[in-house]
Amino acid sequence: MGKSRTDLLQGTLELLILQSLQSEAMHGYGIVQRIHQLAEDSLKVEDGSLYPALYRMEERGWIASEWGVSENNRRAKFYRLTRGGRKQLDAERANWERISNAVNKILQTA
Amino acid sequence: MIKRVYQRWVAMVGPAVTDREVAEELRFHLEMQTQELVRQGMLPFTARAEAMRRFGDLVAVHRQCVQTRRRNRVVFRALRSLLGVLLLSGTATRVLGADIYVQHVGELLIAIGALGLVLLAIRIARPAELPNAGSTFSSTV
Repeated sequence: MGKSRTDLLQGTLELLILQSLQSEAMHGYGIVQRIHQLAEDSLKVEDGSLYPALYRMEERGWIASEWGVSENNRRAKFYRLTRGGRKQLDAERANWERISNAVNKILQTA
Repeated sequence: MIKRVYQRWVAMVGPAVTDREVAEELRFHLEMQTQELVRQGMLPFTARAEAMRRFGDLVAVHRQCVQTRRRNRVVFRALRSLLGVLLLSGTATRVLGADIYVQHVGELLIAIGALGLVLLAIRIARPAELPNAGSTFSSTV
């Protein structure tokens, strides 16, 4: 409970969404839960911020969506990664590593 | 068959469908979150309030999603491309046209293209209707 939560850097949410969808198609709620679960609740992600990001990513062709039935038999919209999305995930992951390496180097010299 | 084609057309063109689908998706999220919080021991009313708090600005999220979805529509993209082509070919005709009548045709094409693009932008940016906002997002348990 007393854990401090870090604000997400701009643009990072898309990387987390792409990563979450890597293994299977999921609905928006599932993606949020996956992110909270993997980050062990240490990232502050406002649930609603996920949806505009999903729609933007769909517009760019990184993900595709279709309506299906959820685990509790409800109609839900499922998102899956497209081929373009997989490429984007690789590129974003490489970019993230470059940035974090650069920041770490700067921090080590201080 | 005709019904299917009609439904597909409505799905592509009808604004209400987009608004409703986005609302349905967001409602699903809020219901799932509320149910989870109730499972964890919260009272339904408190759980719904907490789900709404965690979600953030529901109306703003809905509006952003609807506008992105509208922009992304096949019909809108095709129209945008067509109007862009009209604008470019009109400009070329206006600049390169040797005859005064040909230049007028160019001006006409520019006017149609520019007006069409402005109208399209207005249509995409118009306020999103949040269908049955009260009932859609209040009975989440």
